This record gives sequence, structure tokens and C-alpha cells, in this order.
Amino acid sequence: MSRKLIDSGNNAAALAARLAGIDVVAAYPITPQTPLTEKLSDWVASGELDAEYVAVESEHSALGVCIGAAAAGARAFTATSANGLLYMSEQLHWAAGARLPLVMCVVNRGVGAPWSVWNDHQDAMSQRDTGWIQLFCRDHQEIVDTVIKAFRLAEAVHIPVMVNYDGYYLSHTYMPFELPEESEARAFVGPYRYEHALDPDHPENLNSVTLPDPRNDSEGNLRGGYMDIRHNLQQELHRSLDVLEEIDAEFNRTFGRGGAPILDAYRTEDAVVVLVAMGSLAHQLRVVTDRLREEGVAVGVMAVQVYRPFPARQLVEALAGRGQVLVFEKGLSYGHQGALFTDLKSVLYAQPERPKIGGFIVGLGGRVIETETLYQQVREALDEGDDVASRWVGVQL
Amino acid sequence: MSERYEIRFSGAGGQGLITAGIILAEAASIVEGKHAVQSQSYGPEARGGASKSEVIISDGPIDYPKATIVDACLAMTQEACDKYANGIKPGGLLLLDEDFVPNIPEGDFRVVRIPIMRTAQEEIGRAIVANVVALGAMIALTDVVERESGLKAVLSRVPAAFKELNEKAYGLGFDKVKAAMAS
Repeated sequence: MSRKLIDSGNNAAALAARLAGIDVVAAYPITPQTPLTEKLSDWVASGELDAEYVAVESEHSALGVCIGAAAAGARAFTATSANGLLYMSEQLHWAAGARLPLVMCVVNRGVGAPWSVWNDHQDAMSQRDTGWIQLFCRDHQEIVDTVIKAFRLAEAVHIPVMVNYDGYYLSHTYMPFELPEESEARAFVGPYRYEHALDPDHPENLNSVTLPDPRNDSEGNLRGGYMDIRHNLQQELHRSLDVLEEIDAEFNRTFGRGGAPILDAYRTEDAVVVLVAMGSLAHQLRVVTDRLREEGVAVGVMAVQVYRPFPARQLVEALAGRGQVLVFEKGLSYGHQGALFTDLKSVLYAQPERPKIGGFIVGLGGRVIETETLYQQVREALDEGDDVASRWVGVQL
Repeated sequence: MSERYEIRFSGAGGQGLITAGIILAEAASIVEGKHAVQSQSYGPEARGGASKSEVIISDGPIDYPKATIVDACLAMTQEACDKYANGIKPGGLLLLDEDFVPNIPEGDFRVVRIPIMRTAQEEIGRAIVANVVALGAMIALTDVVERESGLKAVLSRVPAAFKELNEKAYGLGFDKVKAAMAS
């Protein structure tokens, strides 16, 4: 039997990681993630969680310990935010290249300098090219369910998974959610299996120096060079979307929740205008949609739940043929424009009739995103009825 | 559109108003099965500075977890009142600790005043339960959940040894507001 409780988003993530049966946690505190790993540390200390908690001296080491643990055959978990994630960056690339099935929560926060402890998505955006799968959550129920599914996904495709949720909006807010029974969650995730786990009886040579071209291994079998190995990661990343859908379908059958793990549509059936966003912002846009619907405008929201691998086919199916697509995002590629906006345009490029598309940068470093402001922006874009270049909304000085 | 009711607890950091908000959200969501969200302000202030905790209760899903315009507001200190007793819906409610908020703001809302901190200190003997007095008071003020639901949520969060203390605090806050509103 699942139980319903009300708790913070960080505690929801901690509870889910515990349900998934983690063996090793290595983390370094950083706001707004800290309460998550503090909770795990409490449980390890009290004996409620049978896991090894490694208190490290930095985020770089935190992910390093997780990499070692996963390679040694243990289910490993960590969490971080903002500059902590960036300090891990080298290890992020390594974990994905080494195909280690880690799960990490990133409690999204603006990146310094200047310091900000408040929310935006720049931390996750800056690590989009590391080879990790990046999932985004909109509420506490999604945090719980996504963390549990993330372990299944990571271990099925041998690619690390980053579960993103908004700092403060979700991390410190209390919302009710259903928590699965431990035995059911364990059964769903299954035992940790990593076929190349380090074993002195069966030595393997892993992640050694590659050459530009394939070469024979010590047994005379032709093995890929760097480019072949990286091409394999790219293919497997694309395949992981299908695997995620299968896992989500099984989750839905088991727990009665899910059904839209890649894109989640709200009132889009007949929508001429579609608002696109990730994380809790996508929920806020529902309020804008409801208001515009009352005014007779055919609007809907498409929440992007997976940012990497980029769900190109699904987005084209969802958005080609619409009149207008407006992308709201909390991060950007500095010197260019919003990253989601750019990506979306690139997948719509090949469409014979593409929608008019607009990009909006909002809420950097926790700048308040008024629902009224979002409404006004959408209204203006509708009146203009044309493409909108990357527009910063809410700049005050 | 579903009915959405927003409540703000404000006072000094360390007074336990975040907890009061969480308990109210629990009473609404877990005890009564409604939708509820509790959120906080995250300023650099910690203990001592003005702080607030907001609860949104709705019979439908809550898409946006932050308060927009509040139906009812509590202010435990003058600083909190000056900073947070704004954005109250026309015809809304404002509860003040009568000993700590001498300057009463003017506006299109009903003001109710009771001695919250003094009740905790003198009638219970423990300042620490002022937040539970405040919670009982806000539930009496707003009727947003049943009296029993609030009590159940309070008691589910305190150790056995402190149940009686908290039940008394909750009841005093509730009764004092009902009496003040009737007079």
C-alpha cells in the first residue's frame, strides 16, 4: 500500500532514493540541495537506511566516489546544485563515457558569479553536453516517481541520469504526494546489476587509452576506437527514450501514475498556440492557458520532461502544424539565446510548414515570474503573430 | 476554476510559523483530502528577521505553488506586519498579535486582534507553542479546515509527552479568535 504524506521536495527525493535501494551516497552540501543529502545522512546514521554515506570534501570527489562505487557493483546516488554541479563537470563526462548507471538529483539554482542561491536552470543547461540523460520534474509526485524510474532507466541503458527539480519552488515547498510501499518500489527497481563490475577473479581493462582507429584487444578481437565508443553512446542515448517509455508504462501499470514521460500535454488537442517549458514553470503556464482559454484563445502547454536526449521526433509530432510556439526558459547559451528555444527551432527546421516561434528568458536567479507577466507576454506575442527573437522578460534595470 | 484559498503566516524567524503552515497544509491535504501547498520566503534573514510562510488550499489541483493575493494574513510582529500584511484580498482577514503590533494597517479587510505570544507564555508557560496558538487562531479565523482536522494534524507531529500542551495551545488560540470575532 502506498501512503500519502506532505513533505518538502528535497525530502520527497530522499525518500525515493531510499525506496530505490541505494547502497552508496557521496555528497557535498550546497543550497538548495543540502536538506536532501542531510536526510539520507540521518537515515544512514540511525540505521534506517542500509547504505554507505561518504562525506567528501568536494563535489568533484562526490561524483568520483559514486563512479567508483557504481564500477564496484553498488547502486550509487548523489545530489548537488549550481556551482557544485559545475565542480563535478569533469566527472560528469567521465561517468557518461564510462557508461555508469548513476542517478543524481540536481536541485536547480542560478550559477555564480554573482552568487545567487535562487532558482533557474543554468546549472543543468551548462551540463547538457556531458552525455547524461536529463529529466525535469514539475511537482513532488514527479520527483518521487522520476527518481524511482531513473534508477531503472540508468541501469537499463547504462547511462547516468540527472533528475532536475526547481530549487525552492519545489525543494523547500511542502506538497502532498503518494509514496510507494518499499517492497513494491524495490521490486520495481530490481537488484543492481552492472555487467562490468570490478571483480578480481575476472579482471577487465576498462576505459583505457583509445586510439583514433579501432584496434585488437588482448584476445585478438577488434575493438572500437574513441569515435566508435562515443557513437555508441549517442545511439544508446537516442534509444533510451524508448526504454523510458517502456519503464514508464510498467510504472503506470504498477503504481497507477505516469503516461507522459517525455512530453506532457495540457489542453493541446485543438491548440493553435503551444507554450513550451520545463520544470515547475510548465505548471505555472497552465494558469495562463486556462485564462486565455476563457478568453477564447486556443492555447495549450507542452511540458518537456526530457531535455537530453532531446525528444526531436516527439516534439515535431506535437508541434508541427501549430500556428505559434512560445518557449519560456530559465537558462541560455550566453552570447546566443535560450538553449531549448534553439533546439526546438533546429528540429522544426525540416518541417514544410513550421509554426511561428518565440523565445523568452525568465526567472534568472529567482527573479519573480508573475503569472500576469507570462500572460502579458503571450498576449503580446499573439497580437504580433510572428517569430519572437530571444526576449528577456522581467529585467528591471 | 476551482476555489483557491491563500493564507499567510508572518512573524519573526524562529517563531515556528513555517511549521504552523506545514501543519495547516497537512490538515487540509492529508486529514481532509483537499489540495494544499505550503511555501516559504527565502530571504537572507534567519532567526529574528521577518519571515513568512504561505499555504494555498484548493479543491482542485494547484498549478502555481506561490501565493498571489491572500485571503487571510497573520502578523505576529510589527516588522512582519509592515512587510507582509499587504496583498490582502478585498474583504479579507488580518489577525494580529495585539501586544506586538501596535500600528494597525488600514485597508479593505477585517482586523482581529488577540494576544498570541502572551497566551503561550502566561497560560501555557511555554513561548515555544506560540505557533500552535497562532495555528488554532488562524483556523478559527478562516474556517478553512475543521477544528478537529487542525488538531489531528498538530498531534500527529508532536511527541506523546507534548500532546496535552499543544492541544491546550491550539484550543486557546481557536477559542480566543472565535470570542474576538463574536464581540
